[in-house]
Amino acid sequence: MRPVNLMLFTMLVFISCKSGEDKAPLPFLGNKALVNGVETPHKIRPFNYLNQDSMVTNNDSLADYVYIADFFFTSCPSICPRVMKQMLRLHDEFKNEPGVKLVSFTLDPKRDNVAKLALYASNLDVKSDKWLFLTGDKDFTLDLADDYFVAALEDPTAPGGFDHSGKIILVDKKGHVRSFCEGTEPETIPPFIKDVRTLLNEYKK
Amino acid sequence: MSIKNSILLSFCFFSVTCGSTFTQGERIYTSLCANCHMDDGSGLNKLIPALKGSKYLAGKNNDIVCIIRNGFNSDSLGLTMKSMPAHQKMTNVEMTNLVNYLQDEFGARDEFGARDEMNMDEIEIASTRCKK
Repeated sequence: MRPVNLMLFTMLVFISCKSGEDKAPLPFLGNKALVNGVETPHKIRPFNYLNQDSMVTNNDSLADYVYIADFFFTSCPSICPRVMKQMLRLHDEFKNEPGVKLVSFTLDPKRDNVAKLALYASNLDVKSDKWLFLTGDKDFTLDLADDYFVAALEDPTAPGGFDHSGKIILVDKKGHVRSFCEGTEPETIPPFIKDVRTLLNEYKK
Repeated sequence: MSIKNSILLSFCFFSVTCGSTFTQGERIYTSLCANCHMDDGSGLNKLIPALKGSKYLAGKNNDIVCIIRNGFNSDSLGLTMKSMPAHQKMTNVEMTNLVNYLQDEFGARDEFGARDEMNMDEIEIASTRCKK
């Protein structure tokens, strides 16, 4: 092969790799499970919560949306405000994207009742048709956090009484976890935004 | 000018221009305040007030000392529900350094670009006044 041809060939390979990378679908995160002998990707368990408007919210009501989830509690004195700031950034980014919702589960339902969550949302200046603040059974929520790969446990020695990680998780319409980022690290947000768009494109085809 | 003097002089110059003069104040801010008020002082909408442009940082203000010392509970007003923890154990030196860092970083400046500073005496008087 002549050097010029070789160069052209190498360039072509590079170009095709690059375009292939952009179109790569998001992976299904987590361990696969065997259901009736068929391998299925990890899935969030069914749940039932009340949102800040006292409306029942469960996996069925979220089935038409891609959603961005995190775990928090309103009186959290440690990482929550930082994570919320990044959630707010994501909210502003996808404000006019009807296929995306944000979901924040409280770890502290004893203090975070519906009224408190409603006040929190209104102070955050966000609407319930976009961003859901959910309250429900505490022990169930602590277990549910596992499904989102969020470490959450009750710990009297932790600030505010709960120890949890600041992960923000992207879930597809079928309840599979597709991407995540760290709410405490603002630089992880732009690639995550890209992932949300990639997932949205999956449904446009 | 001897070489020794000029080195000393240039060192002084660099320490003034390069290093922050509010080292301790900045350190206290990062460890005690930044989690809620954010690194850039922007706060979180109406949940956590922004420090940038705050009326408590416009000019000398004794209230800022009391708020840091005693905390702030906004539940009674029903406007927000965040409450700020009290910092009773903070010494007057730490308080002075923190308040002056806040003024420098987020406070309003006058028409000459200067900011207000509070000295130890002023901080001490303010602290005694707001003792619970």
